[in-house]
Amino acid sequence: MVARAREGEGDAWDGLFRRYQLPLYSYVFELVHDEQVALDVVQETFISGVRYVGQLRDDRRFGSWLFGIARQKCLQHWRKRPGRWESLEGCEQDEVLVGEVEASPDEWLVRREDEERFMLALRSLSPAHREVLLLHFLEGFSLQEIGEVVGVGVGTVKSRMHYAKQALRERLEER
Amino acid sequence: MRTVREVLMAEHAGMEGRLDAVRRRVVSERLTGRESLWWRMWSELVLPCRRVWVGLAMVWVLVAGLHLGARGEAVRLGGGGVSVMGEVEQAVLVEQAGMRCELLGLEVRGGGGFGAGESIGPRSEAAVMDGMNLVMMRMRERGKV
Repeated sequence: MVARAREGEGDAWDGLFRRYQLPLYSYVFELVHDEQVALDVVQETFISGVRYVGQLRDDRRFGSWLFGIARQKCLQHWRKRPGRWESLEGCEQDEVLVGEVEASPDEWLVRREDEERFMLALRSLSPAHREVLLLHFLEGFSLQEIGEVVGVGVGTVKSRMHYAKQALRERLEER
Repeated sequence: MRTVREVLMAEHAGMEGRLDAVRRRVVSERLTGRESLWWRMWSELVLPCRRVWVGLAMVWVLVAGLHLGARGEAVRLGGGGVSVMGEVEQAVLVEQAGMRCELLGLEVRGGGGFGAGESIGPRSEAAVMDGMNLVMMRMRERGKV
């Protein structure tokens, strides 16, 4: 479908955007916490996707590429309104972890009655931690893909993922 | 039990309609060749910093409002002063015309009029004299002189 989209087929783009629109919106909203800004970012991401698809090297990485664009758009919004947003950078526990097994995003199951509690716990995490978890849970991206989206190495992603899951577990147990 | 992905998607499922609209707009505008210059300018210049544009528009509206208000005030003040100033000016003009006649040695005819034919000098001055005559006639009609 990405190959057809490269040729400029509207149906292919429509199908791709339909596939990614809700995960993309969920990711952006959980970062910016503003409906209108999140919709604007999704729209700008789609426009940039159409415009710059020629720069995508590997069609299989279309999803992470699109999320990477969305992240850049979020950062642009943050830069326009400094102080109003939380930073995605500067995580205090960014040492590199090696040797941890990459777990499936489906290993985490949430009971219906715990969903609200889970969302509150997720939103209470630092943006850098929340971000890697969202990318992991929403799209099941590999550590490498998450690293490409976030712009850090695989070791740093492993570290953030590890501490993010740990923090999430602790907060869920607290509540 | 649901996966985290399902929980997140359910959390934002209410936005599907608006996302559909965004998707359709982008696909139709960008890919069916209907992307106009106006749309590009709108999406690239206006949308990204629309708060700035709204602020500028409000400033201009404010400036225009103040300008119109000040102009209305000026017209009101100016309109009130026209008749008073006009009478004073006319009196001064008549006085000056009389002094001018004395200086030029012209005879003031029957109550202050000047004969165009009696004027000396260039024709432009004769035209001024005609104007003075007209002013004097009007003043006489009003009973001011």
